[in-house]
Amino acid sequence: MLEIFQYDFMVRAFIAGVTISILAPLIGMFLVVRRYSLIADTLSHVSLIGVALSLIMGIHPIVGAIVTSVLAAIGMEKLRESKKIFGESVLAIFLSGSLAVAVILIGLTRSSNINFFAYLFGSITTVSSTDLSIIAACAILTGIILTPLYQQFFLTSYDEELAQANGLQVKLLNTTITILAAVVVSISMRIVGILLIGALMVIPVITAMQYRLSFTKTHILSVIISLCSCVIGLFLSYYLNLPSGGSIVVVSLIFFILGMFMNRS
Amino acid sequence: MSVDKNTYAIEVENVTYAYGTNVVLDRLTCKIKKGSYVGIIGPNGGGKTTLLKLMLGLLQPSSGEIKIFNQSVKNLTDKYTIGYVPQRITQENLQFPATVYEIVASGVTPRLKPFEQMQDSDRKNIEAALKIADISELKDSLIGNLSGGQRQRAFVARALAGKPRLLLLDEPFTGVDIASQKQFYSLLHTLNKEHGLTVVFVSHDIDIVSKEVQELLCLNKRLVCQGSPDSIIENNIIENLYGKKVTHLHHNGH
Repeated sequence: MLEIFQYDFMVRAFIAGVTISILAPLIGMFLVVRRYSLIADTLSHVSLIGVALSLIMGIHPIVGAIVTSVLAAIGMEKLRESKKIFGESVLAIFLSGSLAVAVILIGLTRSSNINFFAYLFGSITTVSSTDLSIIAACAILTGIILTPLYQQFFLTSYDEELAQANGLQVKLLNTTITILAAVVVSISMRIVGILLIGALMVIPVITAMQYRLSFTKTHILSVIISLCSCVIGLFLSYYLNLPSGGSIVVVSLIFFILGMFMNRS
Repeated sequence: MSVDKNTYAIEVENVTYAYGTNVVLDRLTCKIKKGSYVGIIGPNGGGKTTLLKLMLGLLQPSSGEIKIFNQSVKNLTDKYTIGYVPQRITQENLQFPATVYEIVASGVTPRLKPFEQMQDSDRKNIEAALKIADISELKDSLIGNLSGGQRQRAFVARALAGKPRLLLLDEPFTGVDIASQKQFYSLLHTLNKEHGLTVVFVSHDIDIVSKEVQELLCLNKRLVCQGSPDSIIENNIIENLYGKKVTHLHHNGH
């Protein structure tokens, strides 16, 4: 069974997958509890613009995706803070608008659509050494930001007004977590795919929340579920020749359904 | 007679606040002494909650200034000296996956500098706060599983964990049954008398509030009156303010 690790591309896929499956629920938890789950999907659509632009300009697609999605994350937070537009309407504007722009840009690249299929749904054969370096750098950066600010993110997620009354920089914290979400979405596109990364950030968290545990334990459990989904999904992807993103998300859905049955009472 | 500038916990100086063209507070001036136990009352739309939010720095006054312990709220760096117990317990808050301990521990968070971790002394503060609020046995329960009264005590414990000098509460008795209200008043009384905390809360329930606090602050866009509950009732001010007679009022001497 372990012979799949004799292939370099599979080793890279597993390293990337394991890293992403830890990061996705770590950030996703703060989105889910703030009722902001759909932001991951929105950011992933925006990152498609970055991919298309990168192919036109000849830069690395993940770098392009990170830049565009981070800029969009800042824009979305500013619009949400202004309270001139409903939070969910902001997401709808960015989601559909960015997809429209991406489709036009993809048309301009004249690249084969097969490349984009890999970006949309993930492919275990596409993770390069450069991708791994970018993923590792982003993972370290996320850890450096998340660790000291964990308690601040917790309080802001629980009650923004309470956090603000206690003197926390709520706007800065909200923008930071949205930027981290943008980074995680962008680095996940190779393995999980742009259209499915939102699921990996959200489903393991919702599954863990069914067990009615403390915040910290829910967070840890969501990472374990995500990790298991990723490893099982990658094995299935290799042996059954399935798209990696779809396999990983379907496994996480199975964990969710099992959780529902286990917590029916 | 000169008054020491350090006598007051809160000084509201000529504060006006408007939502658009709707003036909610109009040139309000009032002071609350350190160590006092004050209830802010007034009709709906009288500016009670707005005043509380201005004191917390959640809103900025259109004009005027608010000082907390002789420091402008705008420039208050150690905001954790104000313990805040919010009114709003939303459905989202109820479903939030957090234990009572985690919520109470979050009261320490604002005191911590970036990269600073919680110390043993902080954990002792949390345990002490849980004990004072009489919810030690509930510390592993999910916050959403508590009754209204237990949840309010948890939020007081959360405020206490930050070692505040001033406790501000917004309608703390919303959704709390009568028995729990008595227990809660007793807790506030203890915090005021035995721990020296300045306690200020907003409430619409004037009948009960008048029995508990040392001092009432009646608000209707401007300061209508400020004084002991007995003196205010004797002058029929509340009747004029609300258009109702307050019954069973007897200050219990807290």
